[in-house]
Amino acid sequence: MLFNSLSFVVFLVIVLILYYAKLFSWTNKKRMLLFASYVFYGLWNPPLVILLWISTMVDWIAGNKLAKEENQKNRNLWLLLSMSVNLGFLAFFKYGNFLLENFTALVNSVDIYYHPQKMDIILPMGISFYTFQTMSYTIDMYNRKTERAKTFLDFALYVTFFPQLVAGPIVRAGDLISQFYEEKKATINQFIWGLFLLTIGLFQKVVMADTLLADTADTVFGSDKVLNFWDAWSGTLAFSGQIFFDFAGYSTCAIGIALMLGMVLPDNFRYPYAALGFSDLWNRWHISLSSWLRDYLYIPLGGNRFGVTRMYAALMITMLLGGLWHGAAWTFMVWGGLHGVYLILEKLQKRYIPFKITVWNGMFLAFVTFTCVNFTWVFFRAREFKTAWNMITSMLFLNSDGEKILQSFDILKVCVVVGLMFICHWFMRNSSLKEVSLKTSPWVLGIVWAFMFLLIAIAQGSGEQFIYFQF
Amino acid sequence: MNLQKSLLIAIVLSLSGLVAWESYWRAKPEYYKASLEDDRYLWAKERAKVEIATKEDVIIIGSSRTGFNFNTHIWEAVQGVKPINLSTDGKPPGPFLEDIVYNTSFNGTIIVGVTSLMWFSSKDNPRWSDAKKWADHYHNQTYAQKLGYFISKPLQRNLVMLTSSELKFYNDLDLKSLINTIYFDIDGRPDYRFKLPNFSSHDEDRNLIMFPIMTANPDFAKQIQDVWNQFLPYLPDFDVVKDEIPAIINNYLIVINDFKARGGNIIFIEHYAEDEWNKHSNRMLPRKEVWDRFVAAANCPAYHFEDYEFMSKYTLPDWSHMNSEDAKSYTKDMVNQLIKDGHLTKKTN
Repeated sequence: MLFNSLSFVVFLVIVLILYYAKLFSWTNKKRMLLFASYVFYGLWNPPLVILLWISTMVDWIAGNKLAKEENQKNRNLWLLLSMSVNLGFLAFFKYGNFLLENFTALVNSVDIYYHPQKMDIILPMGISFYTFQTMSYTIDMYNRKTERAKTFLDFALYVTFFPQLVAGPIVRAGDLISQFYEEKKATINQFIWGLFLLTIGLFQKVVMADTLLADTADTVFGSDKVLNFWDAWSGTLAFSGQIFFDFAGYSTCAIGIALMLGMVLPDNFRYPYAALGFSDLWNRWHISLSSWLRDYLYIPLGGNRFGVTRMYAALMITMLLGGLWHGAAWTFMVWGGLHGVYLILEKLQKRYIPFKITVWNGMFLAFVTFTCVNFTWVFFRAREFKTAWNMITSMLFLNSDGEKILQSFDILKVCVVVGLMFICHWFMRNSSLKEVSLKTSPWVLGIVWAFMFLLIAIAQGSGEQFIYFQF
Repeated sequence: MNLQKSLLIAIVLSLSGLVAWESYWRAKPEYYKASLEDDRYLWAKERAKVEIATKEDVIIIGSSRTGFNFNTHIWEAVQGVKPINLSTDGKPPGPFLEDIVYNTSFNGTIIVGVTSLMWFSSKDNPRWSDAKKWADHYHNQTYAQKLGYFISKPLQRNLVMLTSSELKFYNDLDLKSLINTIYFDIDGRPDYRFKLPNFSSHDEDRNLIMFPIMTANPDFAKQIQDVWNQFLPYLPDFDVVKDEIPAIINNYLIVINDFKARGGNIIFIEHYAEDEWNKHSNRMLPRKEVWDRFVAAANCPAYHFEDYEFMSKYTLPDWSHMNSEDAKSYTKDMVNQLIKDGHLTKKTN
């Protein structure tokens, strides 16, 4: 089910009525939330709920065993079981065809005739999110960093909690399961703030991403022509804005909906396009994934504990796998690899040519960071390297006679929307929505809220899927 | 921060804004009318009927001319069988024919309404893939989508402000369409504007019904004609496309023969259009070189408007489609002709 659909509005109203009606005990309310979460997921493709159940069961059992088991060898085996099941699901459902294609190319390259048919596999929505979430529980149990979930119901709800089930934030067990132990009820202000966040999230998705930016990005990246400088940049900037509004919109909706239920989810985005460098970017973009990769991949690979070379290698491996997490294609690996290179170059700069960041060079640095990030988005969005290469060369003024496929207004629209987004991120980079709203008059907040709601209603939306659902 | 006050202000302003927005568009009944959108959901509902259709059933496919010119209620009154209306505005019917032939066991009668520019388009035409998306949607729609559609129906039926088409070329009322009416040019960029004023509504059986203003006000109809004139004169000559035609025809022949092999009947009908349209259409796809060759190869019953007086006696306000009254008499005449020629059987209860 999509947040930007009428069916979700009805679903949420029913869930909220059942949650706040004095019909159920807290345990039954949790059962209701769990059932609602399965309905939320199953209305997309019912049989795939079974994967959720398997993932839940395996990690619940593994977690219980790890809580009691002292024998290190047995502990390793329980961890291995959890990893195998979760990563096995990912490997089959998400990377099955990718692995097959590359294996085929490899054996064909040594003159072995092997041409298997592409497997007809459905990619379960949000599989990368819930498998990473359940794995974090088992790994934390293995490292004795978190307590065992008190009941199976609490654990199942942690894995399946509908606001963040399909596109995060990827929440750690310690941050969410404990919230299920005591009865939760949003205060009136929490509830209204949650509703406000839900409106902002939908506004970002329906109006900014789908209505204002998506068509330009689709037109440019769907073209097989070598494009003009302006068209290539407009398409890239449009996608840059689209993916931010789409994904941050989902996270904001998720946080708002959870808050309406009295639960607190962590921030997932903190104005990333005003980042001063790439370490800063990854502290602001998809925070729950970057912290997951840091804690469960980069640090176990050695982090910065074994010298500079090992650190750079760990960094690069982490970013390459982070790229692959987003999709089963080499273009995503290049995207991750570019970010790895950026991070390494930044560390070298900090080591050999450090400088103090002021307000003036800060804005320039943010602009440079944003520009470099845009080059990486080309590989993220393009389905083929040829398209990406054509785009990059056009963006670098190398195709002076490239084709013009966008109308002047499209280019102006993208420049204005993305320009305003960048300025907004810059001014908000050390602040938060909550802080700003505290300083804002209720009238202004009410007018802005109504304006957003009206535009969502007029935009109508065609129920476009969130981009990150495919990851 | 007084959130309760902000919420109250937001509710009052939002409701006032929505009422004002709806009222504004309701005040233009000649241009906009609340109705179920003729989208992939409504099409899928109609498509589902094919699964239980029998040998006696009739399916209509075709583009907008078929949607405007045939009225399924009249058809039912004359023949006694209500056709399944799978015609689609702005899309070639080829993908729908393939869907019926290869994804169902239907072996009744398929009526293919032909607008040459649409029917003889190749699979590379973006509209072909748009049509295919609708066929795919029928097979892939989720329960969440079905539920969402069910909930949206009463809103669509009652709110004019929800006028919005999946086709990008109408002056619809969704924000994207409204924004896309803005146009200016700085450095000789392409002009993709193709904005048709809304000139029809439809009923829930997917019959397209032309607004009366199209007949009553020639100036309004001229707005549509002007849009046709944006592209008709620029259609390529036959010499440019002639090499593509044999492959297109051959592709259809495979599908048609597969359908006939399982006992299905298929009938082709080329609808009338005014000379202002036909002179360009014929320049690109001359009847003798394309239609006649196709019909001879397909070996199916075929009706061309030039051969039947009853098919070409109408005046089409926009040169291409019939108004709703003419559509009724045209449907009646057409069905009677098909019965007379033995291609349809009158059902008597």
